[in-house]
Amino acid sequence: MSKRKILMIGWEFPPNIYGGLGVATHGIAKALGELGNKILLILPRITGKEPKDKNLMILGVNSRYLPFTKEELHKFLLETMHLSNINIYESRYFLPPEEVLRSLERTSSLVQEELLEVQQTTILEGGYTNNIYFEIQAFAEFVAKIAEKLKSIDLIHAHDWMTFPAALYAKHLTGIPIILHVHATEFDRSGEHPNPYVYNLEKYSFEKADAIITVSNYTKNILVEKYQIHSDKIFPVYNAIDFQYYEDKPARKPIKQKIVLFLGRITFQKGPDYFVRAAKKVIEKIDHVKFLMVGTGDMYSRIIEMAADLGIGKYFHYTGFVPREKIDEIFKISDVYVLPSVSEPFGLTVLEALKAGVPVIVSKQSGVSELIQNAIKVDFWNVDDIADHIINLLKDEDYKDQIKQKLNEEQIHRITWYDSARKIEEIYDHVLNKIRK
Amino acid sequence: MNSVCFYFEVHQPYRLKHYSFFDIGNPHYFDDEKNREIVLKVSNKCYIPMNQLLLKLIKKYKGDFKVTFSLTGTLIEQLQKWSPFVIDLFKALVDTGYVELLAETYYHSLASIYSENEFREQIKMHIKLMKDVFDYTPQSFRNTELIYNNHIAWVASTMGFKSILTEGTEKILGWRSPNFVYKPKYSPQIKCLLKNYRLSDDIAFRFSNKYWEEYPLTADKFAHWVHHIAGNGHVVNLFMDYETFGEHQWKETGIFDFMEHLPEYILKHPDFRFSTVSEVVSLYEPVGEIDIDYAISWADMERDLSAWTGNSMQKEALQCIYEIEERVKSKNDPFLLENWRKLLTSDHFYYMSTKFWHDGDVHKYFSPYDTPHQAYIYFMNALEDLKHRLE
Repeated sequence: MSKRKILMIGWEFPPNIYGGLGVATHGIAKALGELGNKILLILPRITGKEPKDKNLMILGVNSRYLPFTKEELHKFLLETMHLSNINIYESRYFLPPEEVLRSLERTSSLVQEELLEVQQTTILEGGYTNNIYFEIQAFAEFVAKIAEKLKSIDLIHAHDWMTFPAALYAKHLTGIPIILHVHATEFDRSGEHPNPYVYNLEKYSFEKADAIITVSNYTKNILVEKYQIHSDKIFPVYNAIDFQYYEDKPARKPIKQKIVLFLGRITFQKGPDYFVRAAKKVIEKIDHVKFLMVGTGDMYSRIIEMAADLGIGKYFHYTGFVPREKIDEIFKISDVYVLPSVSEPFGLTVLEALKAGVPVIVSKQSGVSELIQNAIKVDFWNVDDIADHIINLLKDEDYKDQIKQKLNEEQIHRITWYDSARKIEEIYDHVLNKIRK
Repeated sequence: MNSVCFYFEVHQPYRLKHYSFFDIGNPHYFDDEKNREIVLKVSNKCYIPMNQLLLKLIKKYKGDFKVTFSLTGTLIEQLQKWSPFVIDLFKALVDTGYVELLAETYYHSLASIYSENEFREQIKMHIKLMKDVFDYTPQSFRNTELIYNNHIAWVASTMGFKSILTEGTEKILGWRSPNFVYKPKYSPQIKCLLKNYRLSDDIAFRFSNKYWEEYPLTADKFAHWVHHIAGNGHVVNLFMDYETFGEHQWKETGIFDFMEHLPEYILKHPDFRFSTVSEVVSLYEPVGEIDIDYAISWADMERDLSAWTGNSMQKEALQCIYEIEERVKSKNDPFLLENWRKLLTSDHFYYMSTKFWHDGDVHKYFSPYDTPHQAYIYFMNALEDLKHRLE
């Protein structure tokens, strides 16, 4: 089958990354592009610093900072996506900032406006602000209007719930099939108390989707059990290791103690409180150790206070948000990586830890644990068990080497985004064949 | 005869850099650029104009107007480095003979609570600094943020001070008035001066508050309130941050005009004079005893230590820095010791306060960091580096 033309809808993208979603969206889009598929990726906001990849064109809502030239974009839209009317893109770049600000006040009558005006009157923050529901709606209108103008799109592929209204609206206007890619569900983010707005949006979208890709069987099961979605249209595709390989420069370790690492958003989903509780138990047995927490989130302050309340704050260091290029360095100086997630659809960081040769302790409630046979797997709530494994890895060098050896044998780090992309191509074709029949 | 005793605390800390985990290994913890910027800003807004105004007033009233200062070591060092003209102005003030300087902890620390040894050393360092810079020997003592209890009074007494300052809170006074001299229980040879917080805070906090029923505060009105104590008090102790003038209360609020005219109105009453701290204790006999085991201070609504030790981050940071005292000192490394002492400055712990309500905004106003947790993180990172240097 010839290569496909995909309208991809994203919410996070490098360099603006909040969690794994942006990394995965990039990995998938880039690999699909390199395999020959033509992709137009629409994002709420772009900065112009986005990576440039083969067959991948990126468009942001009212973004004056395209990572491409205007000509490159026009050529792609006209020749590849058969855009019907070029004029709508004229004059929309280089709006003076004051005009953008002024136009912010006129965002209400979006629906009737042409794309030109939509772009001039809308500026989205992206990310996860208090205004997110409005932004999702405005984004959907923007994306759907573009979809309507593109005459040769085969499929729409959307990443996580923020983009689902855009996909649904685009399908409504164009009839093009939609594939929803689930990197996390509301149950992963909020536990047993999902936000009903988000849950209902997800459920409705899953029902309307032509196919759903989940990042693991773990997540597929959540869709079946908690959203009552038929398992026939859910296809798990694992994530893979990041494309970006940084030169193997030796990392400087700022402290002498061994380092037990937590890396991820400091939110309920990631189980940072179990990490702190396990640390308390480790410190009772081992003194020459530090716990490094990398990331930030709505539990950041609480976690810092919790460690201090337990009297173990001096064994902790916190870095807050860390840029991507620093993360390899952090893995290199770490002795153990713990992912104590309460619910983790995949767990990309585990692959990154393995790439750096760091032994991992992984929550059983994670997608990545399906993939790695020899990982140390724990229940996130079993802090005694987590602590015992940490202690063993820190104290017993032979045991640590043995674990590292086993993990090495699995060649997990050899799994690339191309493997994921090839599976996704099969799903594309499956959907397209179904339609043709 | 009654006295009005103005005492000003003048202090600037060495604020920490945003010292991250990855900075550990670099023994330079303090944000020179920011500290310089702040010292210059406060010099221009407060220290220079207010010193000049006080000089003018002292000359004008030829000995009838006097004030008392305490200048922390960390302030003096930074002024010497970045704003030496202010030092010259302070020297000129001291040279008039109508300005008293108090002793305190060199690093504006909480050592009085955590290490008596370090407490005494820092006071001695500060006395030496006053001698070196101003050729002046302090007679009286004030502890960081007026932190006080029986033991602190006793230490000050054993060091030979005539008097010690603290907050005139109901916690120690009960029904009694702050407008007299008292003596600490167990240390009868030293005398206690208590801040009249109502009148002090009228200037320091309420002066520019438009919602205050007494707004605007005029020198005439304020002098009238002060004169009210005649017959039921000896001294009105007006203790406040020096930065009140021009920095907390901006020039535009009229604070300088208020101060310029205040002596005239105070002195209109023939029974009132200005006295310095040590003069007050020579003039008046103690009328009662102050007895307090736990520490009080002039900070926040609670008037206790909770501004610095209220949450577990603060407690842990304090414990971690004081528990290495012996090891730091046994290293005989002057740069290391100096770094350790600069980390003892109480402001670092104040920035970690999570008290929100009323006082939270005050904490926030003074903090160079976005959150108390950040203050804690940078402090603990710097402390970790310092600990590595002990090995």
